[in-house]
Amino acid sequence: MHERLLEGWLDSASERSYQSPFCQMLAGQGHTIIHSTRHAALEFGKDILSIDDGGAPCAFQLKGNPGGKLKLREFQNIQGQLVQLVTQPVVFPDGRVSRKNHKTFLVTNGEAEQEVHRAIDDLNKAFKRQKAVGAPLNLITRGTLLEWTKELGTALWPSEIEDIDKLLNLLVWEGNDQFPEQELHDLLIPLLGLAPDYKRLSAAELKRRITSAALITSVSLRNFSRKNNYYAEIKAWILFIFYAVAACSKHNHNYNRNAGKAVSIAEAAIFDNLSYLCDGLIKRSEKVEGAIPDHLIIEGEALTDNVAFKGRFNLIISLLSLYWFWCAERGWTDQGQKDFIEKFLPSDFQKHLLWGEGAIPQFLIFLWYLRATEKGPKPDLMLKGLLNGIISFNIKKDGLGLPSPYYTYEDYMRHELQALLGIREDPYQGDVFNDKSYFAEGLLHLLVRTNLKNACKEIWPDFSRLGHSYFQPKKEWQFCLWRCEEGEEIMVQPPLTKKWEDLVSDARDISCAGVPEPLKNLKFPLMLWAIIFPYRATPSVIRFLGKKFNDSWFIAPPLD
Amino acid sequence: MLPDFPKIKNELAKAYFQIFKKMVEEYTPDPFLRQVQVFEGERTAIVREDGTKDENNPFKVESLLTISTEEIPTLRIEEVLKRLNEMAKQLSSERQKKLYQSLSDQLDKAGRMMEGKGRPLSAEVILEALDSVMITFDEKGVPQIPTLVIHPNLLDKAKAADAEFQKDPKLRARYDQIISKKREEWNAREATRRLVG
Repeated sequence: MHERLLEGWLDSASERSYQSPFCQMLAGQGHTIIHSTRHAALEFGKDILSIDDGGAPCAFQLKGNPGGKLKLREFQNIQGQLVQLVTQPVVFPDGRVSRKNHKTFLVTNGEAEQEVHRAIDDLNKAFKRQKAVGAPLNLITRGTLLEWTKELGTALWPSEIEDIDKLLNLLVWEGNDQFPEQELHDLLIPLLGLAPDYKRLSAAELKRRITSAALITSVSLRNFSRKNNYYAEIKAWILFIFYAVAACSKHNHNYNRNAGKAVSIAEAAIFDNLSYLCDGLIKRSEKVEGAIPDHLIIEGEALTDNVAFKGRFNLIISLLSLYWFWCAERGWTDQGQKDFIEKFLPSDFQKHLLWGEGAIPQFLIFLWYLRATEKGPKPDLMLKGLLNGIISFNIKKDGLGLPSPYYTYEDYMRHELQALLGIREDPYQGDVFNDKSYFAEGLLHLLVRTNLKNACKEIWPDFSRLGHSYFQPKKEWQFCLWRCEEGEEIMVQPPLTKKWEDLVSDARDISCAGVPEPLKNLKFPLMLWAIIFPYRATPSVIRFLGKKFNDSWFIAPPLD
Repeated sequence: MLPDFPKIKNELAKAYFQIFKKMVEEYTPDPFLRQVQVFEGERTAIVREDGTKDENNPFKVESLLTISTEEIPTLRIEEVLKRLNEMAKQLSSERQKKLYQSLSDQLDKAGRMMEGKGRPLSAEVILEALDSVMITFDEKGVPQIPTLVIHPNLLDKAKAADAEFQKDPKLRARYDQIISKKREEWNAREATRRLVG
């Protein structure tokens, strides 16, 4: 059953969508991936560069032939690239030229025509005569890929009927919809042994299961990849990263040795998807000259998109802000993207919608982008405005308050459209949100760092009237789960009087308590985790991210 | 299996569930009952201003709806609604009992129980109780008087206490005195609500 599912996936995967799982399989075989992203600082002429478990450099050229064959004409079209691949030494991303001979591979997810095999044989004879550094050129086709997936993945996949149902459910999910996190959560929990009472896995077993989890994540993305639903792909890979970290922590094995490679590959896939998202917007802007940024993010039917637009607006702004930080750190490779993002992102919150506390991380990363690109106090005053907004919404006794971060924008839409759609069940029914907040504390600490003491004093009386909530999992690794059975929902009532020095001391804490150690070196995935699952953005996480994405700091140094 | 119509049956089941939830709410009129959804974890906790922590473990309430096989062919929607109503009544009553028990346990633990010392419920006892709790005031200075919850058996005595209160100017003066004292306490408390230094 699993093999048939994999065949179906492989036979429909484009070159873009099978690159990441292919890297995961290489990592599962002991390779260290040196380069796989499509948007690197240099063009290396190879889709993937790796070092195999024997220390030999390997260069891979990928072709997508889903459900078909690599034809001689197609092969002839890339022959120039292949000659380069075999005859030129490998150049590593740090600029070093490999002194060792490298292995060279042409990979297709289809089969290859007999003529292609013959052409490769002829080429290899010539390469041998020339003593080419990357000879011979090897061919990896569908059959080999399926064998690898069987060996590394499917044998470990959950085999209970309910789990197969869940996987099938994911495979038929509408590719233009939101990615259903619960379905993948339900599959990854047994696969990675994350149920609370699951026995401890050995390091070797854990490593195999992480590769297997990466494959199941890829397969579950089939329909989403087909629709170029980049955000869905980002969401799924973020889940994979966090569940892999959780598994290392739960089973008490070294993260770098057992999950580090797989997580790096997933990070690269996320980065690529952000880049594709940006490119997609650039293409739209090129089609309509003079289009204002808002118009570029309209999606689907005009009749109904007005209700989805605002939520998408916040999200896209936050993803592009995050991508801007990521590229700035790696070094911009595409000036066109940089120019576009800087022109596209607004200069204030005027068009943002505060639809619930779940939107706050989206506001924050954009705010930090403004802080990084603007001089003057405006971003700090926007932060103060945002905090005031949350408090004033939630302090009112008569209103509903801002929905807690457990509610999504889709819940907000359902609530707003309840009467019109005749929806019987209001998502907010049985819940009230006033008198407490999940984000006010974290935001106040960020404001304290600006040293706007009078603003903080002004805010304190109302702030102290709210209860400040967060969820504390029983065990640290459970922070990485979409939902957690063990733990408690804590509400803290602040004291009536607080000393400024004590508040400053709280604000200086960037230890990111309650978060597994490896995540502290994964700031971009952690920020995305906060955007996607905002209830995990506890004050501790907000303080940490606030330091990572915002250099401006006007109080005593941080306490790590 | 036999031919079935699962989609419409599921829709009907969902509708029944919504109706049932509304019925339960209607039987639970306590205005101070604040509902919140807990999405994960095993319990909730409150960390008080003084740093003490109160943990609240959820309790289970249940009621039963029985439909016998013989009834199914002739069961009318009205009858199902009637039984749902009965079930909502039971569930609500059960929930309130457990809630008050839990409240009572917590107050007892916190030393906040007021002993009636065998005295019957009267205006004086109610005023004494009022004097022992914190009363909040809204922005316009209107006191937010706590809700008095009593056992149905005490309804007549509560009515008599109210009548006594309405008639006796001394009791009303005592009430005004308590509110005035509480207002001062509240204002003093609110004046400390600040960030200092």
